Amino acid sequence: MASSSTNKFVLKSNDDVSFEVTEAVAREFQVIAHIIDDDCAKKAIPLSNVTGEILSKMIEYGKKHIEEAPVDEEDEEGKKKLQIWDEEFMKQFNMEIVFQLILASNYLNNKGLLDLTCCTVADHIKDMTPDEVRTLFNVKNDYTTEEEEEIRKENSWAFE
Amino acid sequence: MNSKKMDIGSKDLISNLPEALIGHILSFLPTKDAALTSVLSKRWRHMLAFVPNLDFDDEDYEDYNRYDMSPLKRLKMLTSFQVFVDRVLALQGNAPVNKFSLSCELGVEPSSVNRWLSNVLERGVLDLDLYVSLEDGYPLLLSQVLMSKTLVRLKVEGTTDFSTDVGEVFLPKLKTLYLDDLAFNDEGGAAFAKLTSGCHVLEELVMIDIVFYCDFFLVSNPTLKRLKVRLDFTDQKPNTVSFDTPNLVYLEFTDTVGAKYPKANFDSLVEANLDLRMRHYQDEDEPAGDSEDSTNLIMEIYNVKILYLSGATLEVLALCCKAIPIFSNLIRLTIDTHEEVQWEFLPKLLENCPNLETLVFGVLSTIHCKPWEDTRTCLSSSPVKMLKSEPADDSVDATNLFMGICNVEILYLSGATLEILASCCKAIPVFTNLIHLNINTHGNIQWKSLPKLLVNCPNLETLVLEGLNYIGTIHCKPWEDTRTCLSSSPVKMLKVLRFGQINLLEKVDVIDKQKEVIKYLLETMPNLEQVMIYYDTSFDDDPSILSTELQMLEKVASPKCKIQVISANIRFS
Repeated sequence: MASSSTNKFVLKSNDDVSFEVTEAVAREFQVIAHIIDDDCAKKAIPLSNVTGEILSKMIEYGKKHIEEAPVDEEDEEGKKKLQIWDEEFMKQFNMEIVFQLILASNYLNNKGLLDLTCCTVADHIKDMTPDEVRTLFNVKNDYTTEEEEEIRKENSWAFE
Repeated sequence: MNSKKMDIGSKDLISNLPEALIGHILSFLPTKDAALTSVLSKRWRHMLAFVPNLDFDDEDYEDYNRYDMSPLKRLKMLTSFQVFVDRVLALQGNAPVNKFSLSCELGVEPSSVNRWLSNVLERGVLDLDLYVSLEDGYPLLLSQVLMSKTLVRLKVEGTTDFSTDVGEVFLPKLKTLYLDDLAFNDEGGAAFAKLTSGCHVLEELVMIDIVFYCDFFLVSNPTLKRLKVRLDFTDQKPNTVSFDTPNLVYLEFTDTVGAKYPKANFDSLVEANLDLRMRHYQDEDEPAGDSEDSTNLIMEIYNVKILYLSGATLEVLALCCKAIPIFSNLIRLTIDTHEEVQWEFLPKLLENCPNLETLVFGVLSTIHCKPWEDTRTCLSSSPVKMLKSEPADDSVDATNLFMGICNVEILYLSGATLEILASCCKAIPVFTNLIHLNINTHGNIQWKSLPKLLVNCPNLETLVLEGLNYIGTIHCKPWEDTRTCLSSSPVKMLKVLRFGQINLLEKVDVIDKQKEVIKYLLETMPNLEQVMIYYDTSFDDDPSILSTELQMLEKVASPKCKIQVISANIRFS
């Protein structure tokens, strides 16, 4: 039985791009880990909901988090380094990619990446007025003026 | 490409996410901010129902200071806050809740807090973070909280104005307990003992500024791995402090010595961080009596591999301990101090550290007498291989310290220490064993100090320069004076870390200046075989151009010398 560092798997995106990854990296994604455990991973593992572009970014994230994993709980320096890398990693994406990453990390079940991507969106919402949020994410306001006034009253603490 | 991006850019991607994912995004915001999204569109109206982390703070409003607020305004805010919390909880129904944070200072009705806590506890909350400071007090450790079958983390912060009662405790899943600003008032210390013994899988306990109106304080828990206790700022202290924590791995303990430590079970301890202080009023002439005996505590930490001691702790070791153990596992000792190092006690301590590898001094402080003179014997017999020192004062005669560590193989020096070595030491020892020298320059390399040191390192193999900063213009070349010492240096490997790092004072020509230094080093050091330059800036310049330029310098170096330029992800060789 080969060890998880030498064992390789092929992940295949829905637009037919294949990526060879080590078992450790593949296991960063819970869903793939289950497939491996169920011994269904003999050939390429098809991932019907992920494009090659998104998958390559996810693998980059997974690899980094395997290679640079903090030594232990107390490894503050290691954690900090990875956190800085995470921030830089997210800076390269436009919102469209961020949302695709949210869906894909939810689908493949990688909690770290799901939290990172969701937190990135939350950071954009923070300190913005509802109007600014609408503009940023193209949300169309389908309330009437009266309805909107009512919602504001319902949560008056928040809108104070 | 651009038009495609614009096209997709007009779609509402966020509203199309599944509710659970929108809820996950909103869970990273204070609930107040998350609630603002309810007016975005109809789809968002009840989205708060799907947010598993709730975070309420009654002071979370921008325009008012609670002290400036008129009573009427205050009442209005308070009512509005309570209505809001009730509304959000009602909206969530029976959905599971992961984290509930509540911070109340405005004078919320205790019955409201009870109602909210009941709600989230019934829904199986895992992580509870409470800060309640009400004028009439609030019993933070409610029985319903202490009987939760689901809580994994509990953080409670209150006020020591009111003491806390503890009823029955059963927290079978609790791993982290964080107590801040609480007072326990019962004679036998039973309340606190009940708290820790009722947590069967507790791993981490943090206690900050806890007041005990009792004689006896015991931390007893067989599963506890990490313990942080800070008792220093409290006047009320128990007379005896005991630890029965056989699986504890990490201990951080701050205390003013005054208690006895009749029992201390630290059999598994790996790392300890001690800041023990003498009581202020203690008379210098009066020797420490029985009541200030820390011997037991110190004897029981004998297993540690890593030990941090504050300067004050060294004093306590000297004055309040009848004996200290042999620290046979200790490999790293940090004297982390911004006060005066208690040199008197250092010999005794180092004698008892037969396997110490790394000794770190936080600060070598300014003292005009030379207390370290007495440390010569212990230092020169110390097996320490690595000595680190953070920036230090230059008015210190540190001769003996450096004489003492002359057996090191690896030496890390700050730029300032290098300067001390040159200006405050009457003699520099010959570092016969030294093979690796690392000089960390936060500010400037003290080039003038380098010759003196390098001449005395006859077997040095690796020289690491962290940063090549210097103040001055390209026309002044302070490193030129080092030519003789460098040209006779046996160094084979030179590493330059943080090449190109910008000195905030002068942004111009940094790269050119640093290239000049590297060129000089390559020309001057005849035995170099390998040069590694770690390029570490976010310059817009193409790093490959710089790399090529640096590699051209191989011509000026000795024939067997190879240059590698390593940037964040790319390597050029």
